[in-house]
Amino acid sequence: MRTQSKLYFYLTIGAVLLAIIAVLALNTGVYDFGGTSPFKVLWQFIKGDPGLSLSDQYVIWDVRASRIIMAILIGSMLAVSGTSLQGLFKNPLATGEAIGLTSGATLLAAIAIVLGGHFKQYLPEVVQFSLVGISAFLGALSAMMLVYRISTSAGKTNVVMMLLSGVAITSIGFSITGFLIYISKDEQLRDLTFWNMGSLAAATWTKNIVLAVVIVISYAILLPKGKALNAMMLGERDAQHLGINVEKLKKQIVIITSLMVGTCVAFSGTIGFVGLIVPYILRLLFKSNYVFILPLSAVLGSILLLIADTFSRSIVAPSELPIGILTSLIGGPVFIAILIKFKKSL
Amino acid sequence: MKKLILAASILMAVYSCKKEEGAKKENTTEVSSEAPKTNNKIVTLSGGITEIVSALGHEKEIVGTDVTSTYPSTLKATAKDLGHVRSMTIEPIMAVSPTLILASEKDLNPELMTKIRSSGIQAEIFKQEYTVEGTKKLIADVAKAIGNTDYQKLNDKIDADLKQIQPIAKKPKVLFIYARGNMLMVAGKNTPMASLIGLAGGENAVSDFEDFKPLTPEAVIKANPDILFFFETGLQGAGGNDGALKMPGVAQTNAGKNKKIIAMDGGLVSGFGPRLGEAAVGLNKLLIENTK
Amino acid sequence: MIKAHQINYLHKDFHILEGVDVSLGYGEFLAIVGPNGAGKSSLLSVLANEIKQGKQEILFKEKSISNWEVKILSQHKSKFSQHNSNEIPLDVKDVVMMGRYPYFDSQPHKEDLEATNKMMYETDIFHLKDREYNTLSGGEKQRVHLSRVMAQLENEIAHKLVFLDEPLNNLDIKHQYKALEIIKKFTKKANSAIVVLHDLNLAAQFADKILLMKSGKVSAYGTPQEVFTAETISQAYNFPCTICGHPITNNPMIIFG
Repeated sequence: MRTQSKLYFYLTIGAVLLAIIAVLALNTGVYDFGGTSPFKVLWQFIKGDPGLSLSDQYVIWDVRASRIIMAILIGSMLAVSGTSLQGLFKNPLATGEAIGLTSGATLLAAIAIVLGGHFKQYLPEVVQFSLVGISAFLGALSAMMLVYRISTSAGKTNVVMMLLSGVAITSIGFSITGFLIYISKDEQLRDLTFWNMGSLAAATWTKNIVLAVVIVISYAILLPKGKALNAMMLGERDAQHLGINVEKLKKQIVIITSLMVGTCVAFSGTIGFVGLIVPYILRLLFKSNYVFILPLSAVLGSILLLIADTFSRSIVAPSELPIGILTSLIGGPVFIAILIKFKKSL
Repeated sequence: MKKLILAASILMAVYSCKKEEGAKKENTTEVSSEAPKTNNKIVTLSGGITEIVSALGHEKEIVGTDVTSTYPSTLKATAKDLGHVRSMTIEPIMAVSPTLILASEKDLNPELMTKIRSSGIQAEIFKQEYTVEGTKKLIADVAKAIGNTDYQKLNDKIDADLKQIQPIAKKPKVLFIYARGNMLMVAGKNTPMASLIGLAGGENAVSDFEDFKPLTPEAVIKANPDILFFFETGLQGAGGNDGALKMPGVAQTNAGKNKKIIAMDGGLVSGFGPRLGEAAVGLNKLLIENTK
Repeated sequence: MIKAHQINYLHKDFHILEGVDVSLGYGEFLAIVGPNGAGKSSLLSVLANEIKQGKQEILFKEKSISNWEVKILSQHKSKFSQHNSNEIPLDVKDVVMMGRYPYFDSQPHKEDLEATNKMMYETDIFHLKDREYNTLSGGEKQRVHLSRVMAQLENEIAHKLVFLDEPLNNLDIKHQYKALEIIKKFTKKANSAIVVLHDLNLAAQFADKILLMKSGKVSAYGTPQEVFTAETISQAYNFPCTICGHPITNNPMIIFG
C-alpha cells in the first residue's frame, strides 16, 4: 500500500505545482490586457464572454495558452524519454541528444520539409504536421537502432561506445541538415538556431493535438514499466528470470522514445538537457527506483520546461532568448555533477 | 512542501495585483499624452515600408517598427522597436494594439507570418521587388493599404531624382560587402545592392551567383572590383578604410590597389522606398568620384 | 522435474558443451562440479533457458521450457547468476523485493513483504535492508541476491527449481554453510536445486547427486559416494587427490595434493 500512495502523493504535489506555474506563465508576457489579469481573461474566453476584444482573445488563447500547453507536453515527453533511455542503457547519461536521436530526427524532419514544400498547399495542417512528425520519428528510430547496435552486445552497454556513436551521429546529422538549410531557399526550413536551440514560439493548437495523441499512446505503454526498468538493472538475463519479457521491453522503449523525441524535435527543434536534468533531480530524491522516477519525470519535465520557457519570454522582453540556452544553463552543471559522481565510483 | 505551495500562491497573487496596478497606471498616462491624429495604429515591419508610410504623411500613426526601420529618425521617439523579423514573436506586436500590420515577405519568419495572419488584425504582406518599377508598385500598394491615394508625388520624386544620374563612360565594377563582426558576405545577382549599383550606372562585380554568399578571397579576386561598397556602419565596424583593405583578397583587386572604398547609410541603400532616387543619385556621385 | 538430452552448445567451432544429459527428479540437490572451463556455468545457463542451444529441447515438468509463459515460469524457477559488478542505486530491501516482481503489478502485497523479510533474516542481511546496495561488501551483495532468488520462489506452488551459479563466492565460512542449508531446506520440501560449486567437500556434504564435468562433457554422474573416487577426481582435475571418510558425517572427503 505504501509505495503506491507515496507515488500518488508526489504526483499530486507535482500537478499542483505545475498548475501554479502555468498560471504564472499565463500572466507573463508583453501584451497588456487592459487592466484585467490574464487569468481572468482566459476564464472569460472559456466562458465565451462576448465582451472580450479579438486581440485579447487571440493573445490569451492562440498565443499564450497554446504555448504553455506545448511547453507542458514537450517538457513531459522529453523528460520521460530521458528516463526511459537511462533505464534501457543502464546509464544516467543516456538522453535523446546524447545518443543522436534528436540529430536523426532533425535531419529527417528537415528533409520532409524540403520535399513536402511542393505538396504543402494540398494538405490540411494536421496532416502536414503529422508527416513531419512521422519523418522525425523515423529519423530518431534509425539513429537509435544504429547506436544500440554499435554500443550494446550480449545485453551489456558499453557507455563509451554509446556516447561516442551519439557524437558521430550528431555530427553527421548536423552537417547534412546544415547543408540542406544552406542551399535551400525554403523559409520553412528556418535557420539552424531553431533546430539547434529550440523554440516554442510556433505553438499552435493543431500541433498540440498531435502532441497530445503521441503522449497518450506513449504513456499508456511506457509509464507502467517502472518495475521492469528496475529489474533491468540486474542485467537482462536476470530480468528475464524475474518474468520480464526483456526483448519486448527493449523494443517498446526504443520505438516509443523515438516517437516522443521525434515529434518533439519536429515541432520545437532540439531542446537539450531536459532528459538529463529531470531524472537527475528525481534520483536525488528517490534513488534509481523507476517505479517512482518514471511517472514523476512526466510531471517534473513539464514544470522544468514551462519555467524555462517563461524565463525565455521575459528576461529579454520583447525579444526572446532561445530556450535551448536556458536548459543548457541548468543542464551543463548537472552534467558535471553526474560526471563527478561517476568519477567517485570508478 | 506545503509551505512552498503557500509561498508560491502568495507570490502569484502579489504578481497579478502588481500587473493590474501597472496596467492601470499606463492607462492614465496614455490619456494625458497627445492624442494621435487618426485612430490608425500601424506596425511597419520593413525599412522601405516604414519610409513610404512616413513619406505619405502618416508617420505619427506608426506605433511599432522592425529594427531595420531607421528612417525617419524621429520614429525612435514615437514607435517601438520590435526587433528583427527573423526572430520576432507575435506578442510584442499585439502589445502595441495595432489596427494595421504592414510587412515585407523578405526574411519574414513564416511562423510569424502565420501568426500575423491568424491574429485577426488587418495585415498586408508585400512582395518587394528591388527595381524602380517594383518600388513604385510597392508605394502604390502601401498607399492603398492605408487608404491614401495621394502617392503620385512620391513616384514623381523618384523619377526626378533618377534624372539627375549622370552616365559613366567606363562602367565601374562595384562589389558590395556586408560586414558584421567577423561575418563578411558579398552581394551577388538579384540583391537590392546589385539593383542599386545598376541604377547608379555601375556594374555588380559579381555575376556568377545570386543572393548573399560568404566572402572568399578567390571570389573577390575573380570579381576584381574597381570599387568596394559598404554600409557606413559596416565599414566603421570593420576598422574603416584600413580594415577594408585588409580583407582577404582585396589587396589584389583594382579597388584595393587604388584604395577605392565607398560607404552609404544602410537604411538608404536597402530601403528601396521613396528615397530610391536619392540613393541612386548618391551612389552615382560616389562612383563618378572614384572612377576618375 | 527437468530433463535435457544430449545438449550441444557450440561457440564457432568449439564445443562448450557436448552430448550432456541431465535428468533431475523432485526434491533433488544436484551439484555441478569440475575444473575451470569445464562448461559448468554454460550448462546451467542452457538448462535455465538463458541460452538457446541447438535443437534439443529442455523439458521442464514434462513441458518444453520454451513453451512456458515467461511470467508463470518465473514463479516456478529462479536463477542466481554470478554477479556482475552492476551498480544498482537502490536500497537493499528494494533489490530483494525485485524477486517478488512476478507476483505483483504495481505494489507489493503482504505476502511479498513477508517473503522478502523471511529470506533477509535467513541470509543474515535483514539488518542491512535500509542500506544502499552499492555500499555493501561483495559478500553482503551476494547474500542480497541469494535472498532475492529464494524469495522469488516463496509460494504455494509444488516442485520448484532453483539454479545457482557459484553462490558461495565471497562468502565467509559461516555464510557459506548458511546458504547451503537454505538450499537444502528448500529441496527437502520436494523442490529441486542445481548448484554450480567449486568446493568439492561442500558438494559432497550437501548434494544428493553430483555431475562432474570436464571439457564440456560429462565425466561422471551419480551420488557423492559414486562420483567422488580418487581416480575420477584426479583425472577430471588433472591433479592428485586422496579420498577419505569424513570423521563425523561419513561423507567422502576430498583432499588435494
